[in-house]
Amino acid sequence: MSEDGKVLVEFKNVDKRFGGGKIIVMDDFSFSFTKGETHIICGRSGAGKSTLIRCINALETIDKGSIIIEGQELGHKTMHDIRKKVAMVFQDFNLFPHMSVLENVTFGPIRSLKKKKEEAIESGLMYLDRVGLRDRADAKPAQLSGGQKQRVAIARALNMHPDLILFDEPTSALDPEMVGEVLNIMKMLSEEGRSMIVVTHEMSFAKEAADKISFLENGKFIETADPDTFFDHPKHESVKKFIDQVYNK
Amino acid sequence: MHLHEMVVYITRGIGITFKLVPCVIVSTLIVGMILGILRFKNIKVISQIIDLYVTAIRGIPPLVILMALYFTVKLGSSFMTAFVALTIYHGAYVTEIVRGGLEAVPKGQMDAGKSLGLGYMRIMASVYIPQIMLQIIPTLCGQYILVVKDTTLVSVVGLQDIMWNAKELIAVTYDPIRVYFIIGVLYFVVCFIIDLIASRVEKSVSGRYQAQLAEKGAQ
Amino acid sequence: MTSLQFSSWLPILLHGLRVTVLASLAGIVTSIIWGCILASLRALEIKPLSMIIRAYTSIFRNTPLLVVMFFLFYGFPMINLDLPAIACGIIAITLNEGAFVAEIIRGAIQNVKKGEIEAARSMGLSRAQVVHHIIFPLAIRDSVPMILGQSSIIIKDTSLFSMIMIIDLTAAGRQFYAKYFNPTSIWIVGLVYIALFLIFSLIGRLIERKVRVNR
Repeated sequence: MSEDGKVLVEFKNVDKRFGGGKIIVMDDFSFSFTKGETHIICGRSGAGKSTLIRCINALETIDKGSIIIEGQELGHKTMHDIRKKVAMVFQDFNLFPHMSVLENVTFGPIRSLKKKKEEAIESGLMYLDRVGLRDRADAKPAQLSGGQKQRVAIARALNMHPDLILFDEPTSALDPEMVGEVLNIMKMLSEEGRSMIVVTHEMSFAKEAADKISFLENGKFIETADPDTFFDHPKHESVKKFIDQVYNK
Repeated sequence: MHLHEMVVYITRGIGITFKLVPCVIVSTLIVGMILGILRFKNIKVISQIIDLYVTAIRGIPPLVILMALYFTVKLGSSFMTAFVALTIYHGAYVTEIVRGGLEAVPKGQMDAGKSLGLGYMRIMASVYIPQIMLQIIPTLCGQYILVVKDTTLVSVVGLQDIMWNAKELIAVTYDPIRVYFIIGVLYFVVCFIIDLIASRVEKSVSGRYQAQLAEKGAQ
Repeated sequence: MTSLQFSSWLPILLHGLRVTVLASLAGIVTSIIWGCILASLRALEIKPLSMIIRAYTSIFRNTPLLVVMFFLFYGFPMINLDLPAIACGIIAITLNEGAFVAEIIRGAIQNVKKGEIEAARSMGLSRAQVVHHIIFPLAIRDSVPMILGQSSIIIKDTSLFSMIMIIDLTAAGRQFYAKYFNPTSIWIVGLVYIALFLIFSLIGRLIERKVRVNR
C-alpha cells in the first residue's frame, strides 16, 4: 500500500466531556493516526477510550476542536460520507436480529454504498469465508455463539471496504473460550496492513499485533509507543503501574 | 340555538356518567382484586373458571353484554343494569391487571413471608398488594378511560345520558356536527385528565425504579 | 326460541356474521396501516410533525369511538359527502384505533436496542433509511403481540356499527329480540363473538410465532 504512513485521522484540539463536564474524555486533544497501522488504545476503565473512537464515527459529538478524516473535516454534512469509509465493530456485536447472517453482511454495501446486490453478496460470501462462517450465511444471529456473532460483525465491517475499522472492545462481551477466534481474525487483518484503531484490554494481543499503543488518561494520550517500548520501557509512571497490574500479574 | 344552550342541554345527562364511572371503578377494583388474587393462587378449578370468564369477556363486545343483561334479567333500574354490565365487562380486565401485577413481584417474597409464618392472605394484604398498587395505577387508568368511553353505550339500556340527550337535541336542531363535537370535547377532557394522572404516576413509579437501580449500582 | 323462529333468523345471523367479519378485517388492516404511518412519521423526529401526531393520538385515544362514529355518520351528509354507513364506521375505527396502534409501535420503537441503531448509523445510512430498514422492522415484530390484542378489540368495536343502521352480528341479535322478545338471540350472538375471538387468537398465535425475532 503506497499511501501507508500518511495521516488517516487527525484530532485537532478536541474537547469532549461528560456528565456536566465532570468526566473528561478529551482535553485539548491533538493526535494523528497513521494509515496502514494497527493502533491500540488502552487505559483504565472509565477513561473514555470507547467514546474517543466513537467520535471518529460521529456516534458521539465533540464539544470543541475538529476531527479530520482523510482530509475531510467531520461535520454534519460530511458525517454520512465519512461513515461509509469508516467501519465499526462493537462490543456487543449489534447484528441486526431480523436479518440472516448474509443479509447483515450485505445490508450496508447495498443500502449505504448503493452497490449491486450480486456484487455485495459475492464479496460478502468471500468475507464470511475469511472469518470461517460461509456455511452459516443463512443462519439468524440468534443461532450463533458470541464468537461467531462477532466474526460476522467483522465480516460486515470488511464488506463496507472501509479505509479504517474501529474496534470497540470487541472481545469484552465474549466468553473466555471464544476470545481467541476473534483475536486471530483481527491479527490476520492487522498483518494485511489494514488501518485499525482498537480499544481493548487484551494486552497480549496488543503486544503481538499493534504497530502503536497509546494510553489514554485525563483526556490525553500520555504515552504512545511501539509495543516493545510500551511494555518494557514505559516513560510514564501510571502506565508502568497499569502494565504491572494488567499484564505482569 | 346557541352553543352554550346546547352545552347546557347535553350536560343535563352528564350526571349519569359521573355517577356510573366511580361506581364501576370501585366495583371493578373489588372484583379484580378478589379474582386476581384467587387466580394468582393457582387452584386448578377456580383458575379455570376465572380464565373462562376472562377469555369470554375479551371476546364479547360491551354493547352485547349490556343488551343481553337488559333483555334477560330485570335488575330494578336501567342504571343498575348498566352498572352490573360494565362491572362484569371491565372486572375481567382489572382481574388480569391485578394478576399481572402480582406475577411481577419476585417469587422469593412469598417464600420469605411463609418462612415468617404468615398466611397467604396476610402475605397478600401486607406484602403484595401495597407493592403492586402504585405499579398498576397507570394500567388501571388506561382501563378506566375505557370505562368512561363505554358509558356512551348505556343509552341502549334506556339510560337518559349524554348520548340520549344528543339524539333529542339533533332532532330539534338538525346540527349533529356541533352536538357530537361538544360531546367529543366533554369526553376528551375527562379521559385526558385520567390519562394525565396515569402518565404522572408512571413517571414517578419509573423514577423510583431508576433511583433504586442507581442505588444498587452505587453499592 | 323455536326451531322455526331460528331457521327464519339464521339468514340474518349469517348476514350479520359476514358483515362483522369483513368489517373487522377491513378495520384491522386500515388501523394497522394508519398506525404505522403515524408511528413512522413520528419516528423521523421532526419537531412540529411529532407535536401534531402527539396531539392527534391524544385526542383519539381519549374520545369515545361511538361519538366519532356518530360525528362522521351524521356529519358527512352535512358537507354533502355521501358515504355508505359501513365506510363511516371503518373510517371512525381507523381514526381511533390507528392512534392506539401508533402508540404501541412508538413504545416498541423506544425499545429497539440502541446498539442496533448505531450499527446502522455507523454504516453511513440516513435517518430515514435507519427508520425504514432497522427501527421499523424490529419495532413492528416486537409489537405484533400487542397489535394483535388491539385487533381483537377492533372486532368488538364493530358491534357499534349496529348503532348506525348496519346489520352486523349485534344488530342481527337485536332484530330477533325486537320481533319475538326473546333474548336467546343476543346470547347466541355473544357466543359467536367469543368464537370469532378464539379463532382470531389462534391465527394470531401462528403469526406471532412466525415473526418473532430471537436475540
